[in-house]
Amino acid sequence: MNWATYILYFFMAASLYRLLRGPSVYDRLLAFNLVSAQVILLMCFHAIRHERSYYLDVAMIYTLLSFAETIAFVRFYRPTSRKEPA
Amino acid sequence: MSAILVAIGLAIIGFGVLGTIILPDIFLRLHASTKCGVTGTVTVLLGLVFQSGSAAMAFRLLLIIVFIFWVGPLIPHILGVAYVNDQDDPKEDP
Repeated sequence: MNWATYILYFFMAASLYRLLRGPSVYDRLLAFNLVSAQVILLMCFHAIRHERSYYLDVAMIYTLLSFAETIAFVRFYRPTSRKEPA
Repeated sequence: MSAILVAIGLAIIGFGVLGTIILPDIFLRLHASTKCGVTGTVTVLLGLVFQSGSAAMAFRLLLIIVFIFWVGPLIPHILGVAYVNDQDDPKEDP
């Protein structure tokens, strides 16, 4: 399964293009979520290869943390973005 | 079986990354990233379930699949709503 991790490294490097050159902050957050999904996959690959099951726990927590982190960033950049109903 | 699923999932992720790079608008990028990212990740994890040695690792991988199906479509929805609310006058009511 070495080829799969190398392909994942290539995809992460390609996603960093949008992270560095997004016009708005939401493009950067979008690219960051793509990269974090690939990081989760990378942790699972290492867990399967080295037979370490606690990497899977880390990946599980990281899935939920990336979700909370996106909400935190959106709230940080636009704290009063709730639109009033007309 | 495992290698086939991993290869299919990596191909789907590759299309998602390609669409995220070359598409011109943020909504098109959200479209590409959401569908391809979630589906490709889950396909790769299903391939890893067949390769996992013990039942505990398989159960944890299935739990990660459930979490990704849960939070994967929510994140671009939050980003899209925040982007639309960030515009001063949106062109049409979303």
